[in-house]
Amino acid sequence: MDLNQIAKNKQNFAAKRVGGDLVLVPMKDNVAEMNAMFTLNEVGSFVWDNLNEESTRELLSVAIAEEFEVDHAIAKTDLEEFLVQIQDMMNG
Amino acid sequence: MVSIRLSIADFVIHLINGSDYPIKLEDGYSSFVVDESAVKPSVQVITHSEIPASLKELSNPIYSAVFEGNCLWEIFAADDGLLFHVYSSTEPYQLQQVAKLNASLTVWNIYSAPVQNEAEKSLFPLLYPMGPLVMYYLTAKYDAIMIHGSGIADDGKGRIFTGVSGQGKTTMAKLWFDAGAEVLNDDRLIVRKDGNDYIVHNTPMFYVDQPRKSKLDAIYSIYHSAENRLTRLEGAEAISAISPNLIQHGYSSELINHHLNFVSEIIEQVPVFKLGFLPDKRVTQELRGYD
Repeated sequence: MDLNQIAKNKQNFAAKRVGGDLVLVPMKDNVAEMNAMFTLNEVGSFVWDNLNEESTRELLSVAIAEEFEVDHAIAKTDLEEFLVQIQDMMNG
Repeated sequence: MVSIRLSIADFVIHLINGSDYPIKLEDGYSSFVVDESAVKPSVQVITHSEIPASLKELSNPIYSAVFEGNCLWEIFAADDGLLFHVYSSTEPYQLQQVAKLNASLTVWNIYSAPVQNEAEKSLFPLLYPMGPLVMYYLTAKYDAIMIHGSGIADDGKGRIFTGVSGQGKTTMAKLWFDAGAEVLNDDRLIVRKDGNDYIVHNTPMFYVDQPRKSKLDAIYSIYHSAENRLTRLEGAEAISAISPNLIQHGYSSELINHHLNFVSEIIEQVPVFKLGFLPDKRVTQELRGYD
């Protein structure tokens, strides 16, 4: 699943911010699956918020590095971990 | 009877008979009938004796309630609200009732055929599952949720034990009953905000019980365990523990957000725990001790 597809799939989730976390509720056939809720941490929430159909891995990792004041290499690793997590959720 | 008022979770439901047949209620509603004509109703329910032909054939439901392969009811979008087809529990897709709910969720029109009851034909507008549907949309309209759980009041302290079927809600209710607590209900509860407090209420069931309520002091997400184990949950974890047990029709982001917002407000005030338990009285003693 590429970034563009992940960005498109965002519309299939309801989101609720709780503190630094973001609770996502998947929608299947337009109905919420409350028993399949998913929580994103602060970095995941940031990526989720900034992910759109124009996003690239490079743009997102630079944004993470700036937002959380970490090395670009660490930001890239965090982004890849997030993308694996989010793809698992979307394939769920 | 021309009009009946019910008070359920302190919501006033005004049933108005728009037919020539008497309206009757299932036995479980009898204790919830009130004489509060001065109180503005939370919702009006107008009953009718014929199902209009134009409402019988609908397509593309936005939500279908399917249980063990049987469709119990469906919801359809209408220009001015929602339409419900409620089906017989014994004959698949045999229409039992049709209901219209206006867009502001304040007026129901319920259409059903009269049924022989004792010596006369009568209408049962809140015949299961119509009654719980009316209650659910009250919680969707106002500051409230409906949840699967056992509610108990223990010396003024209200606790909800919530979990999916088989996780021990009824067992827990019995343990607290044996320990001298009041069982509000062991299946379906409504939680409402009242000032700075949250109040847990019972709702009418198929058996007769009186209206019961308590201030809510703790929520436990329960499961059977080899030992009693209590873990405090915060934030997203608490929401994720409670939300799957909400009674909810999650076909719109508005409804989902309503539920998530309400739960996220509750957890700011009411502690939420994950509770693994053995089915014996020690769990009641340990929770009392924890308090």
